[in-house]
Amino acid sequence: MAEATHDDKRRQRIHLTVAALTLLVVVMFVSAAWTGLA
Amino acid sequence: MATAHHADHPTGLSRWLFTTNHKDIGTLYLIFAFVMAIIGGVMSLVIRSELWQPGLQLVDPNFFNQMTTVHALVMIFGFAMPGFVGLANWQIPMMIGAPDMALPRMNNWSFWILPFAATLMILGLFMPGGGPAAGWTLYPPLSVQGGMGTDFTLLAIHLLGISSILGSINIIATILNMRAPGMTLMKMPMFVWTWLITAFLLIAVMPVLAGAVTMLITDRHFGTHFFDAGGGGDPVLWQHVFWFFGHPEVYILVLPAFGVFSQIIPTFARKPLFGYDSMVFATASIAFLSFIVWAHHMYTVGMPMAGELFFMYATMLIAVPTGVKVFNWISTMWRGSMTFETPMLWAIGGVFVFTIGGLSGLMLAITPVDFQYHDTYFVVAHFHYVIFGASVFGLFAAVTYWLPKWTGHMYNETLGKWHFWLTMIGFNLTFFPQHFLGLAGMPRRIPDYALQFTDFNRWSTVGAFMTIAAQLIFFYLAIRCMKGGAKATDKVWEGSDGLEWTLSSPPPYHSFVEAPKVK
Repeated sequence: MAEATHDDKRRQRIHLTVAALTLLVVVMFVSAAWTGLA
Repeated sequence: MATAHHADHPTGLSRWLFTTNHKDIGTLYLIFAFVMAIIGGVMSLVIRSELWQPGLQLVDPNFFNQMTTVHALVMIFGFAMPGFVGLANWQIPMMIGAPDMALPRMNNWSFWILPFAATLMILGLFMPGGGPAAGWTLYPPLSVQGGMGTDFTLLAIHLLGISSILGSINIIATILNMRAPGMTLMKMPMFVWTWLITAFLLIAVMPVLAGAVTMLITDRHFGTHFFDAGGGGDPVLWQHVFWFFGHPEVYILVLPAFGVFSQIIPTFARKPLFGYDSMVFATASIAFLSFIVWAHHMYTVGMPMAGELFFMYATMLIAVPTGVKVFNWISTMWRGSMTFETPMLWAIGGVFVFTIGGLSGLMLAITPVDFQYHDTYFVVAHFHYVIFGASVFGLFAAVTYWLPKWTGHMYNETLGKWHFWLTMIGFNLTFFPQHFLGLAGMPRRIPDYALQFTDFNRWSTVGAFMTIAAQLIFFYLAIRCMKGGAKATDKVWEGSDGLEWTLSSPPPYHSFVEAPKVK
């Protein structure tokens, strides 16, 4: 049981990492496009 | 019983198509990188054959320009980057005590995008008007004017970028969340550290390249004028955005190799790495500085004096953390019980060659002097010393270092040494004379040249053929090692240290089903 909780926490942390990095990808893409639009 | 279950996996073609195993995917990446290296290498031989003597003899000038363009794109996006991602896939889970990567299915997808992207890029050469001929930097207006082959390449770059971004997200998620208990960040092997920082660089700059390429596509097909001066746009905008990606890209190609050198040198000097903490901070400093030096690639566009001074000093500053790294590698070797097996030769050779490239980089950083060197063969010599020195030497160092672990067999040391020395001599023969050609004024990306440049060009062509021929030895060495040979021990090297060496050689299909404890 304790192990399952540990795995769930790790899964949540992985999802959070992926979400934060995806946001960074979007921000950098939009920033690059903005240099052309500004 | 549990081990047998975990070792179970599909066989034949479906194993390789549907695999989510980090070792299988690592192998796929490495094979792909080697195939692309051969394709890019053949293109370099076309270039060098044409430059054997002045005048036009083998190919027409437009095709020559396509060769210089696609050679660079294939080598950077098809060979060096996938090669290091292959190493990351094989090694990172084993080095941090994880069973696999954090996102194994995405890992499969990251790889299988690559062959299609590479095919698109190569097919571009066969389109009406041929492939892109604007140079790998794809500067407008040439890249706006190119034929359909340019569109193939731009789409291929998008796909390669997506693959890199997915791979990097996976690597960061793995390193931050899958480490064995007790392995704090500052206990991680240097190869893992350099890849963590490289993955952040990739995530920060690949979307910037994607943004620039998207604007280029809309300029070509949807009536926008981002880079078209005639429509109110600015071609220099491309140069800024491209090099904001392009300079960190150099460190993306170089930093994982620094990680490899930092693993190998302590092993064969039989001493711990000198200055581990400073190595980590130097790597992070190089990565940070790589974001604020991009305009040193474009001094000649006409920048304000303040801009030129800023980019000159910021560029020179990179020599400090790089110097720290070189100092630490030398200090690690100092009074060590050194032996010179093939991986150590590649590591020392890589540091030596890269340092020459770093010194010519300092020369190029000086703004007024760069006006003399810009777009000459001096630049070609410089970046080949940097990228070949780090990436190619780093990849061969890594593959010979870990091949016994991966296959369970020792490779043939004599063949390994022949491969190293022939490549080392061939490489220097190719690129050292190009410094002199550049200083004497020979421009890059031209199929013809003035008579007085003939001798140095001939040396260069002989060296290129020698370098490529030497890779046949590596091919034979790798195949022979995969098929058999002396049994490798689990530790393989007397001085090796780290979790991967606690696994059997070859390691089980799933490494570390139970997490090891790190003290």
